[in-house]
Amino acid sequence: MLKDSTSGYGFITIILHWVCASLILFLFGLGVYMRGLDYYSPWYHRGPVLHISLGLLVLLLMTLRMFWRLSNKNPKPLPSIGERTHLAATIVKIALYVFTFVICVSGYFITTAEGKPAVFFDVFSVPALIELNSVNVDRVGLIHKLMAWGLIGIAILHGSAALFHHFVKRDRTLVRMLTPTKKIV
Amino acid sequence: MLVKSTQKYFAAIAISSASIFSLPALADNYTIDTKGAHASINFSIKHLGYSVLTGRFNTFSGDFSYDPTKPEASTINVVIDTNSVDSNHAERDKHLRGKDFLNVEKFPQSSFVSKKVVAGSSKDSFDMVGDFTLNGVTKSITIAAKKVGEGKDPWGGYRAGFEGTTELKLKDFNIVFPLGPASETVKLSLHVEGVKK
Repeated sequence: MLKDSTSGYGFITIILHWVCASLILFLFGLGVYMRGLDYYSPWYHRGPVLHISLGLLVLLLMTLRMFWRLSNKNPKPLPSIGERTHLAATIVKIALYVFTFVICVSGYFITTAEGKPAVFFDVFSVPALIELNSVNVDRVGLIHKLMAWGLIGIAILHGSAALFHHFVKRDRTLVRMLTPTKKIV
Repeated sequence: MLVKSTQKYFAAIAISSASIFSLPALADNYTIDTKGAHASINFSIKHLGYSVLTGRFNTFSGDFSYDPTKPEASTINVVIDTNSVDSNHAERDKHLRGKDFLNVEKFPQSSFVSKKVVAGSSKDSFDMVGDFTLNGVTKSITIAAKKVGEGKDPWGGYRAGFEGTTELKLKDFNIVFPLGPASETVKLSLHVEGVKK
């Protein structure tokens, strides 16, 4: 139930998936929203503080997810899924991982560009690894923004495919990510 | 990058040396000692009306001519790399470089070219009138300047140093981000030490 098996996903994978998905969507919305804020808005400082903290949380969860994914058995594709569809789905999944990591790390570099740590809810802080000059920070900023929009695009693709399988193809693709599969002994 | 900035540097020298030839023979020409960082361009602005925030431009270059017997014949040219804005806060500096403030991608340089010097109340003080370009807008401004001192340095050179202040309305330079009524004016404090060429 906790671990993944060849027949489906376990509880931990499912929880991590949906927590990360909601955090990423929320962070995207917050990112777009906070950039347009007026200086006198109460969220002018609160927004970035929350964005940085939750961004660090996503980086942590995604790292856990990656290790969990690599240390677990990967469920076999459903019999109704063709080889090409499976390959496309796998590429999209890898892209989701890569984009999320790049966005998290670039965000961290922007925050720590002048040597100050990235703070996680006043609980702990991640010190700066490297300091960046202004031209490079702005480059990293552009990467952060473009890849965030890109990630949302890929996520829409990923989510639409899941809905397509659920409502049109009527297979268990989406259900497998909603309820843990009992181990078939 | 290095090649580009070197070119800029030589271009600045070429422009300023062109103006040097039209000056009276007695005035001495100085290079602003940015290499040894004995010069700084600092700004300060009220924060919410409760305190003062300071910052500076880390990269600039320039030169001036100065004749102590004829201070009104002095000239100065300074070119500032707007990308080098530094208020000791990564996110704020990123914001300052962006479209709301300095537009550095579009306007990577800011400059001051003196036009006229008006003698002040004391021998060492004077008002420097010139064209200041910021965010693509050029406006005439007046810098209240004062000579701090001049003389030989311990390493075989000759130096002269000045300080100056001026105030700008951000709105005049097309910077209209709403910082609030207390923060419409930015004060510039300049410290300039030149080494005689």
